[in-house]
Amino acid sequence: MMLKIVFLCTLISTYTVAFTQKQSDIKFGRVETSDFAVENIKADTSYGGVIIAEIGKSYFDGNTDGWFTLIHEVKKRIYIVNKKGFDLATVAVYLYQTKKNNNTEEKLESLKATTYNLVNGKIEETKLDKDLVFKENINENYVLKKFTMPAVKEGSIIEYSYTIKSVFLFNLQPWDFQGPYPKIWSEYSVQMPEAFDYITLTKGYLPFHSIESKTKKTNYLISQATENTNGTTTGFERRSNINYESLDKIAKWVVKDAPALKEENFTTSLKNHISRIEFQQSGINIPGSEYKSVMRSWNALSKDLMGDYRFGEDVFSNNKWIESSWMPTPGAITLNDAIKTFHYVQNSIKHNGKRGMYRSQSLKETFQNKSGNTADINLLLTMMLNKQGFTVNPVILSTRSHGIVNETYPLLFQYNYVICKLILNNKTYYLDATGPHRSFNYLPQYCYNGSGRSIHLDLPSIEQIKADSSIEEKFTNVMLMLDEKKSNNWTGSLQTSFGNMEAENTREIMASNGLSNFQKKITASYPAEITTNDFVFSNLDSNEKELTLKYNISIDNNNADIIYFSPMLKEAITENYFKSQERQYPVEMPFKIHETYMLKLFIPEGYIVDELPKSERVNLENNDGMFEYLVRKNADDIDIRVIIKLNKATFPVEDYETLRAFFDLVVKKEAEQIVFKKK
Amino acid sequence: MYKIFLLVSAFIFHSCFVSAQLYSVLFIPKDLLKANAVVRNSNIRIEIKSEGKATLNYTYALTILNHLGDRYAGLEVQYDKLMPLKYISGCLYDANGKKLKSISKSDFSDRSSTSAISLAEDDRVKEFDFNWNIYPYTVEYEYEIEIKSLFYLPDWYPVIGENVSVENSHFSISLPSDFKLNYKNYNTSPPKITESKNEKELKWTLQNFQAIRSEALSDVWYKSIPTVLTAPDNFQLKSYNGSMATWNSLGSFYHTLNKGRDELTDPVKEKVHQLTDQLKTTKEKIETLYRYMQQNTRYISVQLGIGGLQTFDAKYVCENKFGDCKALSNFMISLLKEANIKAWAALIYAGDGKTNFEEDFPSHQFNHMIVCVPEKNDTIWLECTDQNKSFGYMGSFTSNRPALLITENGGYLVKTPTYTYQQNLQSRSIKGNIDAQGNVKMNIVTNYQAEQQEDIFNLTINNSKTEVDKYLKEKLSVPSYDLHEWKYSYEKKQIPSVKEELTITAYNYASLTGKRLFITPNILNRLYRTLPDTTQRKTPLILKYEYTDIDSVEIKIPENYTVETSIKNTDLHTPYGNYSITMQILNNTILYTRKMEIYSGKFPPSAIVSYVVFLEEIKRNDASRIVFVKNQ
Repeated sequence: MMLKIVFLCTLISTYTVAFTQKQSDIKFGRVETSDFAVENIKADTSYGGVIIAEIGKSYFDGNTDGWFTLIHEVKKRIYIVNKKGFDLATVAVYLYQTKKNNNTEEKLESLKATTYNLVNGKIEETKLDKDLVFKENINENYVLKKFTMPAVKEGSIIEYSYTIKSVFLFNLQPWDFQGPYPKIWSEYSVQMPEAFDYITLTKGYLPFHSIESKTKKTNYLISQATENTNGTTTGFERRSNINYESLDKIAKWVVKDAPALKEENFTTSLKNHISRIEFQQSGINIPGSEYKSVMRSWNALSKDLMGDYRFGEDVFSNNKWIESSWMPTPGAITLNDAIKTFHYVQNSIKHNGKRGMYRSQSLKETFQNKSGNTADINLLLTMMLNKQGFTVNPVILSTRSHGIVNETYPLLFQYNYVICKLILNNKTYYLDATGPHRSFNYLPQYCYNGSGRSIHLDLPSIEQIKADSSIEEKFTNVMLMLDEKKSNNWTGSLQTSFGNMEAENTREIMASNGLSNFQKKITASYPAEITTNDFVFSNLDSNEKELTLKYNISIDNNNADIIYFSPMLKEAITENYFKSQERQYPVEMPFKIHETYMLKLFIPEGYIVDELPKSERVNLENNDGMFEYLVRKNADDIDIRVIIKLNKATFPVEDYETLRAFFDLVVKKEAEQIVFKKK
Repeated sequence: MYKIFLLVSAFIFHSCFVSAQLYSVLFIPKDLLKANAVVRNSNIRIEIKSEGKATLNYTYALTILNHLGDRYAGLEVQYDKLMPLKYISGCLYDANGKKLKSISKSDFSDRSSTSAISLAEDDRVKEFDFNWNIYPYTVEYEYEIEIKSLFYLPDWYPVIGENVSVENSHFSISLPSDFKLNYKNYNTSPPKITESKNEKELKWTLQNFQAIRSEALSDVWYKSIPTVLTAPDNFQLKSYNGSMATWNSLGSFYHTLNKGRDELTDPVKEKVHQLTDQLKTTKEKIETLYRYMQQNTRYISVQLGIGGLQTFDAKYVCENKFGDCKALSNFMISLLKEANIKAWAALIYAGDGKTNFEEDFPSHQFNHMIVCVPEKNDTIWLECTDQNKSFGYMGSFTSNRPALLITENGGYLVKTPTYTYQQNLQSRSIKGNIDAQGNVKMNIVTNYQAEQQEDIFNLTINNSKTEVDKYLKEKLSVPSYDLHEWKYSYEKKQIPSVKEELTITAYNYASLTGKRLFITPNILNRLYRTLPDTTQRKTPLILKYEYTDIDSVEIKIPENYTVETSIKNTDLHTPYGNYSITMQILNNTILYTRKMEIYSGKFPPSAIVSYVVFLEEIKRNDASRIVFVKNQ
């Protein structure tokens, strides 16, 4: 049987829309009786709430500190269909703050919030009590302002609007056109003076209903208190004013009828799929002064990072302090020496559970405190390997939950993790020493997420760290011979060598739960007639060697007239990984798969083989994967070999059905039985 | 600069006050080393100055023996305005007791401990972890908290977790002689009492306690280890005075704190009369007002003010239409009052299976509030924070445990109702057909009742159609299937039920190998639970949940098959429950019935063996299959 991926070429009749609606027809503050009729809501109301319209606007204003203020206005109208939508009535606004520059923070202003209810045919308005806006310090960079709408019940309409004023010009607010509730109209516009350049990044699959862009002449008044020449201020404030005339760039985006979006299995991050627009400041171009590029080239960024005390500073220096506790043998730069250093770091420095791209302390502190975040550890590793004489450099990347990076732009916020790259004898190795059970040249699953960037003073380059480059190979061998005492019972052994990810997990489980618990779990997973014992792991403590598990199996056939035997024992895939009938996003697995299972089974004395599964083989197109089930009956025994291969880790959503059918077949085949009958 | 340096070092000297070698691992008695961590020396000193003032000083040193002990190595201290943190510090020592590092207040990170569901709370947390990984090592911490109200007097749990030994631990409370302190001991000897002229001191000590494991299906942890619970006779909270001498006096305190907050706005008063004046029975009125409360409010947690104990008044809820458990309960009581129906607030410790309660030890053991309407033959309990719940249904969240009624005559401890195994019923009927490929198309009708309907009720009520659909397409325990139709209907009675109707095709459910067909007739209700350890059980076996599952399956198989191996009928009777299976094949149709009744109860430790045998039998029977052979 050959599975095929059928491409349906639908002919989409294209037509031009004569008129595109450019404005939302919602009039904020003016709610009509008809607005309360749920049948008028043209969206999936089963989520319990619908964003009728949300309009965001960002623009600049001259301020009195001699610079610009960013202004972000938001207004929303939301229909609360039922209790499921009550979450929409509680609003959280995050404001950026910094302890530097006299505790500057973004300000929440002009907050207005009203709930409308239809009571006996009349519209009742309830306004938010300002005392019920709560403030919470999240951390040193964020303050949270929270409020919940008053008088909300099923069928309420809520409207709120607020303004965020910010002097952090890098923080031009992003906009989500899609979210956990359906949105009928979502609009965002940005007006920026020609002095400022921002890069716009759009994500997601939803088409824009309209995009507008134009220019507009705008005047900005900027003023500043001036000091006396001797630097003191007098009782009189003197101000200098600048009138700045700009040909502003204005852009406006609208998405209509965005469905709700929620997480699915085997996706890297919802962030990769949600329709969203975000900005990154790239340059400042003030008339009369030189163009200042805020967005740096990768070369410049690399240089910055290398000198940054939270990143590269000291990584490539001599670091003599370490020599009292750790001294590399001079000239020892074989692969084995690198592995030794890797083990030294992974065993002596504990990961404190925090992930990040920036260090939390100096390399010396990491070394002395014996713990640190991922950057502390991997940059210390880089430093030590460098000190030994290896060619190493840091590689930054974005973890799976952080989303895929857009390679085009040298934008650091897209990255959130750092690993170490080693080049030895023309071979590249990626190292992450943040787990005590990880092997050399293997990364945690969440790192396999597209492209990373080598941070290097001369040659910052793209690094491909794709899930497709990681393969999970597992090999299981079962031998069941006839029991010497009771020749219609089986006795034998099962031996498995694990793939790398499973090995790391197993090592971790063994370290925390111990062998006896592990053994209990496996024993309990077999039916009563199968007993297991003598569990032996090999290479449990040497991460670089293949982890294998071996245990003995004995099966009591109870002298039955008919023996039904599941040849896969407990190694069968019993449930389809892809149960759901349909799927919205691509399948993004963390690795490719290659599993082999082999069985040699002796025919019990006094029995004949009455039923035997047939050999079968299925290929996915383009050599994307295969399943092979081979059976051979010999005079005294039966050989079975089962192979599953997936040669890709990522499958487009169109392939989902095929993938599901493929695993259906696997489940079905692996459930088949061998039947023995008494002669 | 020099001065500052001196100051800092003096401070560090103070904070690590013990001569270093004391913490050498060599000094740990051998018996205590069979553990992940050892409490070397722990000292809690509480000095009670008056009813509204006390200090808590806590110092402890803990040796971490292996990485499994790491979870105890950090410190997390919760504090708020009523319990301000005065001082905090810590030290790290190596195996020889040599000091490696000292930390002070500024090294601790500080965060809000506001839970995600809460709009506002006062609570904050200071935390620190050395994250050391050379074993063994010792951590030492000291902190001091001012207790502005004895309402929050700490208890003593010297054994901080399973697999932790204790070398030395002390708990002392000093108090004015005329001050009465109540306490309750578990597994520990009475305190040593020293008295002077104006003061007395109570002191408990635990020495050389060998680590124990916690056991599955047992009572709360603190009952199997040394524990001292404390409560003051009299206390002061802000400007309020109260007493924990009896449940009645504690109830009076809550009553005083919250009285006079039941005034409704005029429109809501009018509404009450409009809704209820015409109704005949009190029960109808209660139900109508409960529905009104549910439809017109929502739950928002705001834990501010007097320790989160004082309710927002009823007017606040009338206007904002939201509140926390106290505000909504108070609002409900106010509505009932307007309709001339007497109701009381009831404090309770809510949580699924959280039925443990110290009935003979009056103290603040509560985290939730509900409403009790004392009807002649039938007391009605109302949960006011759930806008979907059936009228009068409590569910696993608040059933089967004591609650403190807050009345104008003080507090009264009463027990909330229990749902029986007959009421917690899940009954399912499956009718299907196997086709020639082994696919089974079936209709599944399930009735979930009482505690058994809670999960499915919440799932289907709180999620959109799309999400329910997605859930159903992934979560059935069948290897691979298509879902064709689904439907839920609800009966919101005092014992609520949910009816679920599904149509699915389970692919390859019957396994075909050559001429044989294998089928497991128990399609959706196999027992998968991992079974508890039966060796060396020390604590009683406690089974909390009681329920009944009935499954009847009717599956038509393809023509021309004969049974080769069948399933035996089974009937098990045990003190833990009953289990039976009946199976017959009639006109090419498998008729299979499974009935399982599980009881709740408390059993001696040795019962674990027969209990596990019972579950194993069920597991084995649940997995059993029928084999058919095609007629040649």
